[in-house]
Amino acid sequence: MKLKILFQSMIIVFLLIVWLAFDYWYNGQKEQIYKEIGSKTIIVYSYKSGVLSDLQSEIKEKKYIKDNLLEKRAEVVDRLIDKYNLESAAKLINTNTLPDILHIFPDGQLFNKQNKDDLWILFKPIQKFITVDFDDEVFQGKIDDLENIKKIIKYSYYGFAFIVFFIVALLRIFYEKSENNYWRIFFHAGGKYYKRTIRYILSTILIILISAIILAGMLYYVMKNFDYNPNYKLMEFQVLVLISSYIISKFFIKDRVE
Amino acid sequence: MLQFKDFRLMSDQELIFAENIDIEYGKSVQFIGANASGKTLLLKTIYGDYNQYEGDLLIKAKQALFYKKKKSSILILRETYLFDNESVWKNLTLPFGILKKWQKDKLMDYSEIAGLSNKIDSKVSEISSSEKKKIEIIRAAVQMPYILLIDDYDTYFDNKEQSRLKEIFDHSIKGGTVVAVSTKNRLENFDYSLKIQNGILVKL
Repeated sequence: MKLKILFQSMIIVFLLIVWLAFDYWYNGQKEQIYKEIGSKTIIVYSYKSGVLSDLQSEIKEKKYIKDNLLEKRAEVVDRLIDKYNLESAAKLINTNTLPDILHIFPDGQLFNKQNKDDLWILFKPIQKFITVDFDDEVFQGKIDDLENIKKIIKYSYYGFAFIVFFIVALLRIFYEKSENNYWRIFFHAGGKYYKRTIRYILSTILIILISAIILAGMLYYVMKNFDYNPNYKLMEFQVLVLISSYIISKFFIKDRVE
Repeated sequence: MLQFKDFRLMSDQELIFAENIDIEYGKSVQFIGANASGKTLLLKTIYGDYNQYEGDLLIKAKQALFYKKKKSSILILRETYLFDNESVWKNLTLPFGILKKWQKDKLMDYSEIAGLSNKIDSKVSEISSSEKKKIEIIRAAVQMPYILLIDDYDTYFDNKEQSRLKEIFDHSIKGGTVVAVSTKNRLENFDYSLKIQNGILVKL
C-alpha cells in the first residue's frame, strides 16, 4: 500500500475525530442545558379548590410537560407537619388556609419559549385564582444559551464540512498530480484511459475504508472505556462529505496526461 | 484499414499532401522523409494527437480522431516512456494489468528474440537506449493495436536488429495490426514505402 494513501487516511481520521469531538462537546453542553431547563419546576398555588385540578387535566395533554404533581391543601399540611415535626402546631396550621399546589415538571428538550408562552395562556383565565412561581429570568438565560449552542453546532457542521471537503479534495488532487508521470508512461505504453478512473475509484474506496476502520477502532475503544455515544447522523454526514469531495475532485483531475 | 483521401497535413502551411493511399490490414509501412519533413507530425496525426488537417484520414473507415479516446493505436516517439528505476520486466508488463498467460509467454518470447532475456530483471537505467526502445516495441506489439506507430525507427536499430524486430512485428501483423514507422532512409522488409517528396506522400 502506498504511504501517500495511508497519509491521506490519517489526515481524514484526524479531521473527522476533531469534528466528532467538537460536536460531542457542544452536544454535551446542549444536553446539560436541557437538564437544567427540565429541572426548573413551575409551581402554581391556588387557594380556590378545583382550579388546579382543571389545570392539571389540561396540561396532561401537553407534550412539553414531562410530569406534574398536584398537592391538595390537606396533603400539603400533612407534608409540612411531617417534614418539620410540627405536631404541636398542627391545629394552628389546619386552621389557617393553605393553598393547593401544582408542581409542573417541563421536558427540558421540548420546553422552549414558545411552549412556555403556550402554558401561560392556560394560566390566563384563572390568573386571579393562582400564583405562579417560576424564575423567568433564569429560564430566558438558559433558552438564550441553548440557542447559541444550537447555532454553534449548526454552523460548525457547515464549517467542518467545508474544511474537510476542501482539505480532502486538495490532498487528492495533489496526490493525483504526483501520479501524473506514472500515467503518462502508462498511456504511452498503450494502457487504456479508463484504467485511471478505475484506479481512482479503487483508491478512493481504499482511503475511505482505511479511515473507517481506524475511526471505528478508536470509537469502539472510547465507547468501551468512557461514557460516549457516537453521533451516527453526523458520521453519515461525514461520509457524504468525503464522497462528494472525491466526486468533485475527479472533475479537477485531468486523466489524459500526454 | 489506414486510408488517406485528399489528405492535407497543415502546420503553418501545408506540410504533407496525400491524394489517395490505402493500406490494408496486417501490412507494414514506412514513411520516409528528411529531417523536418513532417514525419513525426504525420505519425501523431494518425495516432490522433494532432488534428490540423484537411481531407480524410481514416482508420477502419472512421476518422483517426475517433480512435483517440479508445487508444486503439500506440505511438512510440523518440522520447522514451519507461520507469528508469524499475526492472525491464515491470516496464514490459506495465499496460496489461492482470497478465494473461499468452501475454506473458509472448513477452518472454519477444524478449528472447530482442536479446533482452538476460536483462529482464535489470533496471531500465542500466540498459542502452536501443534496448529501451525494444521494451516499448515489445509491449506495444503484444497488445496488437490497430496501428503501431514508431518514430525514427532507423535511428535506434541497425539492420541486424531491424530483422529481429521484424519477427516481433509479424505477430501483430498477423493479428491485423498495421505497423507504421518513420525513417530517414528506405528500409527493407516493409510492404509499403511512402516517401515525403516535396510535401507530397508518394508510393515508391
